[in-house]
Amino acid sequence: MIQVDNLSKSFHLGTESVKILDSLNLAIPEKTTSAILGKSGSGKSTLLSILAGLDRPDEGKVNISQQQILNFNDDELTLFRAKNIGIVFQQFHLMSSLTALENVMIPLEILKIPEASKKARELLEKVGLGHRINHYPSQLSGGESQRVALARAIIHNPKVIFADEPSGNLDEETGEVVMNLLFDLVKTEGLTLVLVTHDEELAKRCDKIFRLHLGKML
Amino acid sequence: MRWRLPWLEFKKDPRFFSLLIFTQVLGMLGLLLVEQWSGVLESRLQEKGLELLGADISVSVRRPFTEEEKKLIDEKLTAISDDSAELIDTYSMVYFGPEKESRLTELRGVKGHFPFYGKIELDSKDEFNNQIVVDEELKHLLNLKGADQISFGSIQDKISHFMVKDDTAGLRGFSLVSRVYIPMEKLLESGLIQFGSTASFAYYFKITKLNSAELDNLQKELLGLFTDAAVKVSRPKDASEQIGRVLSIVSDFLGLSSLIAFILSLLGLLYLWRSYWNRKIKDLTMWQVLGLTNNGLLKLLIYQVLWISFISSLVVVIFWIGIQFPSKAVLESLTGVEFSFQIIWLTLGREILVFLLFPLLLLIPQMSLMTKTTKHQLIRGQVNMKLNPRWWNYLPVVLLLWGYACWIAHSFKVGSLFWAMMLGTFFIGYVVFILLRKLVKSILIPAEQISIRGKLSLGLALRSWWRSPQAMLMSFLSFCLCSCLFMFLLELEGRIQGDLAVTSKRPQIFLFDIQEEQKELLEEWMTKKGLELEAMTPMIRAKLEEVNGKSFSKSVSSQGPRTREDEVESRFRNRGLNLTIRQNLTSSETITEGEAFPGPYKEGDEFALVSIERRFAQRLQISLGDILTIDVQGVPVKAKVANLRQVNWTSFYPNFFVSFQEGVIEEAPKTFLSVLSRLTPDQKTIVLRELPKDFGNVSMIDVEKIIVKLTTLFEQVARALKLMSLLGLLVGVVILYSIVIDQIYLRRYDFMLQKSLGMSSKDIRNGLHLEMFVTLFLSFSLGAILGHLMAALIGVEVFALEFTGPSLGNITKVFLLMIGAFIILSLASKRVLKYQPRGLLAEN
Repeated sequence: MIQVDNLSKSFHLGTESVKILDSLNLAIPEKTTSAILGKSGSGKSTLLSILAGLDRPDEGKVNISQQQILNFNDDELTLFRAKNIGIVFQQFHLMSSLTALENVMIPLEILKIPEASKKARELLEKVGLGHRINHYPSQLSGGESQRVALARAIIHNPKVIFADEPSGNLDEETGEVVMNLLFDLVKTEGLTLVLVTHDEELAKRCDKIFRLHLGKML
Repeated sequence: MRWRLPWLEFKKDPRFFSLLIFTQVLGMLGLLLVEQWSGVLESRLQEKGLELLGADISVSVRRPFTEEEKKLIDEKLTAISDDSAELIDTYSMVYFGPEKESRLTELRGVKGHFPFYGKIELDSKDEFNNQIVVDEELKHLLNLKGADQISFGSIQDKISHFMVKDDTAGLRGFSLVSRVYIPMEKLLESGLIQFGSTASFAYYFKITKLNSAELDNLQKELLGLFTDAAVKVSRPKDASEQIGRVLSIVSDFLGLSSLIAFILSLLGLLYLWRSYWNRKIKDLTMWQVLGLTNNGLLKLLIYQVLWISFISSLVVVIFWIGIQFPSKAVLESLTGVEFSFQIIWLTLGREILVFLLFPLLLLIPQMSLMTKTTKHQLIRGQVNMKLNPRWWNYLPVVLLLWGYACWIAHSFKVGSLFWAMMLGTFFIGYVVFILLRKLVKSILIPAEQISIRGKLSLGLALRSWWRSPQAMLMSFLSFCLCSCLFMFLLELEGRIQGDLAVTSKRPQIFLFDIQEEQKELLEEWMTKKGLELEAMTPMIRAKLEEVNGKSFSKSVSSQGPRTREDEVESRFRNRGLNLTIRQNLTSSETITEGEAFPGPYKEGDEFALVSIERRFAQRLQISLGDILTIDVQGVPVKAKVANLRQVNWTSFYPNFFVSFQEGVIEEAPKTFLSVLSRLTPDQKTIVLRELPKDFGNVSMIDVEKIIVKLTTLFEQVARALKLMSLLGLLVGVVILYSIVIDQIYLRRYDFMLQKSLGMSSKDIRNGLHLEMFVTLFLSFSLGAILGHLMAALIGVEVFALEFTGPSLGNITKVFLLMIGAFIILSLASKRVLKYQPRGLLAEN
């Protein structure tokens, strides 16, 4: 269960303060898929960054699996993220100096989980990239890169996957393949998925849709 | 729009562009300061040379000038001169008093107003104007008083003044003896100058119509026109061996310092521009995708370089004017040399052009990369994955650098040598980097884990080394070059300082013509006065006859002297030499090749052993182990060269080109030289007044003033050289800072990503520190080795210094600098590591 209470966040632009999230409340049940839908500038990526522990709000509470993550210090938050959260970025963000296999191995090695290589290979086979394990990100197509990113996000069995416009950088057909894979993996692994998108069709595939407008839930 | 784009780019990334402008400004200021400083020092030394020669140019010969030579002098020199003087120098005894007490003196017959530069200062307020003027030493030696009569040749005349200071007096051969200036007609009247007399005839000219370079050319022209090589044409730089050598060292060292400051700033500038264009490759490609032609893109990049160059030049001019007054005082107090700031518009213009031209030439490889790679690859950043193999695109930069290096160094040899060594450093750095990558690859390939020994940070650091070759190579080579130049500058400066070093113990009085039987008596006399004679050294006249059985004098003259240089060399070889007997080295000597004498010569030894001064040996092409036949006053002595030694001539103690081991030529007729130092003013007066009474034939000369004059100059030069190398180092430190900061900035996305995946800040920081420390350590170590080799090679080739091992102090300084770079990196990384990974999300 992800519980968000009274979450606010502002940014300062010169002398002006712009409110991005305004006293926002949200509850996402465990092992469900949810979409946060909104136009550009609605605050959905900011919300996602706070939920994933990548940023801190001005006020409010975020409770994930009965833990108030905003009470953690930076190191505790990092450790929490390493154990419980997987993130899929729109621009894939694979490490360019590592192969596909090594990119997927990183979360396991951070947590010092044994047999990282074996597990990463199996997962890459599962996402259809068994033949690309030793390729570098620059040698992979967009769809392949995003599949590596998906594998990296779930390899350590996190409780929650946060996905930020995961098909935004892909063509329609590839995007659909990748999203199918994401939903399949979430279902088979029993994960909670929080998806940020502005794509109504994609949002409809989720169990729940939250609409965000000017920092408030509609 | 194209003109506005650079401004928009600046607004987008002010931090980076400020760094770029700062680097360019620093480079230009550094170069301006070095060039200005170089001008000040050179003119200071030239002034000293002018004072010593007393004129802009002189022509001299050890015989009367022929009519043809006089005509040539009239045509080429008198015609363009502002003033001229004629001098005849000879050595003769001067007598005084009823007992006809005598002393050897240098008699200088003068016709005209001499000197034109420097001063002959008299004991009264009167100006020197062709009267009979006697050196103060002679006053003490002969106990003279004003208006006393002295005799020389057939003349007896009244002393007009005593001379307190003579700027034209140097430390050259017999110029150490007391001088007496007399009007030319009196000298000619004395009968001392007759056919066959040993005298030097000279014309001195003041020429203000020509600048220094034109006068140097005139000197060369005249040397070619005088058919007899015995005619010497001298310029101020030739007036003193010491000044000449210091001038040439300073000139070469300043050229090299300018080059280093320039190369370092250029390195920083090129690094930053290249790094920026690589980073912007997607944006630039997007412009092309949107329809901008290659030509248009090139114009866009040119405008950007122009814009940065314009701002930098503006800052430089404002800053240069602003720092004049405070810096002038600081520089003068640091070095004791008067410093005048001027805006050298020509230099500034040249710098602006050069700092514009080099980045523009760097656009060639950049454009080549962009035109030969598909837009798809560029947008995906695939060009960064491999090393750019099109090295020939860099040829224009490399060739221009060669030309400019020669220009800055004012010497084709120095510039080319430096340029070749820089290329060598790059090449060796590149090869070492490739080998290191292979080594890292061999460590990583069998691994089933990213972590090495449980350390993920170590595994990531090594992978970054192996798989981001372009970025790593750029920083590796830049650090390597910085460290190489640091080490080079420190080593060279240290070794030049060592060569110029003047010992704190300086002689005050030189004593010569001491007869063998007087040696012990003189020592006893000194002991009674509470004084100690130092460096009592025998001097024996001899001549080198054969080298390894071949006639030495014939080796050049057999084919007949063909060029002026051959003839000079031939005269040099045929000249006699003074040698000494010295079993052990003095503190001013060091053996550079061979072994010290094992002991005195013994019956049955095959050869006597000799030690030769290394530059003398170099000039006469004598090597270690050669067998020399030396004619010691009619007796041929065979001797083997046991060692070559370096002599610190600036110690001003008696030193000889050739010294024999004991037990060989002791029986030869000889005189002794000795030195007195650490005298109180009273002791000095006693020696000058009383010694001549008991040892009438022993000549003395008070060298204190001359040595102080020269050593003060050397010390000023030494301080100035230190300041110069510090300036070069300062430029380097800032460049290092720029590179380190840029490297950290480039990696910020990697850090954010690692954070988002759950890596702790500590692990990320450790990984980065490890990676940078390994890079810094390896590149600095390689750079230090190459820098030392460069300093050693340039030291030998340009400054005639000995090849020696690196100084521990300099190695420490380079590694302290490396630690400094590491600390900067660590501090800079703190800020970058604080970046929140939210920047990775789509809307951020």
